[in-house]
Amino acid sequence: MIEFDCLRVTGKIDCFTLRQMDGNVGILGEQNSNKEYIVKASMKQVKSWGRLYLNGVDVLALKDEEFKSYLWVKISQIPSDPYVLFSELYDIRSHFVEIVRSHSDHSHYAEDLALEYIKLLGLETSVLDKYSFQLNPVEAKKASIALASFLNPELIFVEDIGCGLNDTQVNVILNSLLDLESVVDSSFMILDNDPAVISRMADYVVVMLKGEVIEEGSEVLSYPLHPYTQAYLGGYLRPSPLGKGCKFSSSCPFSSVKCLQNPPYVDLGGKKVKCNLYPWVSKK
Amino acid sequence: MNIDKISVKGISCMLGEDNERYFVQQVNIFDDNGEPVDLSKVRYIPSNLRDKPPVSFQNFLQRVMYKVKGNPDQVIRAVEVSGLNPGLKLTEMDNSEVAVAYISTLLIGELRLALVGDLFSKVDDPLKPLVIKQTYKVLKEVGVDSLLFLSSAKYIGFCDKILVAARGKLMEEALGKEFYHPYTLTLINSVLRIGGRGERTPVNNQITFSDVGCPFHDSCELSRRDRKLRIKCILDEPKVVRVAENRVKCWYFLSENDNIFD
Repeated sequence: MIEFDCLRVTGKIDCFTLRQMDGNVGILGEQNSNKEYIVKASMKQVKSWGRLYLNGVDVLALKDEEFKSYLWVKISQIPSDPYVLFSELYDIRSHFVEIVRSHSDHSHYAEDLALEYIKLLGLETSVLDKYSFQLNPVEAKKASIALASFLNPELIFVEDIGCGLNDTQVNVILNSLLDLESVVDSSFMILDNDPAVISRMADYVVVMLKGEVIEEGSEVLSYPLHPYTQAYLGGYLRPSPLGKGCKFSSSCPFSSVKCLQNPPYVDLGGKKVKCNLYPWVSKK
Repeated sequence: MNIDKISVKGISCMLGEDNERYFVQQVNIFDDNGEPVDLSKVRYIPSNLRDKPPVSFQNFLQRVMYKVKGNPDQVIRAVEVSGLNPGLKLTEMDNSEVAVAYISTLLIGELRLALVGDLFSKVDDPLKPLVIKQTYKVLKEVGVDSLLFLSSAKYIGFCDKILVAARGKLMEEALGKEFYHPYTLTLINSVLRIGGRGERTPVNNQITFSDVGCPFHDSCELSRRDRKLRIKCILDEPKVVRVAENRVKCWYFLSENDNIFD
């Protein structure tokens, strides 16, 4: 069970709360939605407030030493730029061994496990002997997926899988992730700007707009309720300045004076939306 | 490396990887009568959106006007068509707005041909339709022939003519929306649409290109199924044949009665 309780990063994330975590969660947002700060805060790379519970343990309250024992084993990350995970001084195999050594005195199984995951992802085993700068973007991405998942963590963050890849390569990576999903117990949190990726990987979708959750539910991509989500999926979104009250109020075709106040987060039974268009529900 | 000769009519889109680099570096342009076109009337908008000049949009257009000998009315029209705030600095703009600003410069000065780099790949996914729409609007208003470089087949719907090439080698030329070359089909199939949970995509292998024979032979499903065809694809560069409305450069479609173009 994974739960975010009002995770905040100053100036970036308002109050990110997520209580449902059976299966995978997809976070849909533009490049400027600050969704990557959820990962940075969860991995303790930036100062944040709030809580992240992993099976009842507040990960953000852990001391740095304790958190290190959680990293890779309980929580891990596949960054948008896979090369940042690897040091150019060591071959790929060493990264797997080093992670196992940092968590256990018995590292003999590291290489076998690495080999297994590399094969699972359709890579040639010779990749383990290469250095990160010798890998093409798809190999690097797959190696980073193997590294993030080989210890079967409870939660894996997957950031923007299409970054730096062409359409064909995105297809290859997406299929690999779907294959991997069927053999690991981990939950994935997919942060992406492409709804097509999220639709195939996520059971529950959260839409973010400039650091704020505006809509969530399991059918958001089929039946979007918020005007922002509708514009996003309909292909008529325009870059817009930050609105007062509702952040989309400056560009929303349904915007009224009421939207200059912070709208309520309305629960529509399985779906939640932050919009004044659904007042009859919020009055209940 | 030699590049293939192509013909551009209306809004032509060149689909495929790495083409911009090959075609723009080695360009010789001729008109319908075979006369060379004055390169000062050929405008190239590169796909690089990183180097944004620290000036306002209005100022940027005026600088372009001086450079290409345009007039102030064209600058006013460019601002109108773009829908951008003329006082906004390019450094303060989102990538999609910068792309629209660059495209709008085509409305200034005299033009015979517009070459537009793959700006769309640099724009955030949900804002791509906006940039495509603006590009179409500008190109229709300018009314000259244009060649757009696209790496994704997602937005080819607005193109009058589609040229599919890889590393400067033409694979297919299509006027309609029917495609035959295996490389084109792979690109079309790799466009991701919203799908069902757990739904796999049909493309499982990344494309690799070869310097000999057909550049696509290493990744070609058709070639893999037929040993004789495969040998031909590896050894020789294919001939161009007509398949329905298209000109396709593929050994698979070649029979003895076919009309070979080259």
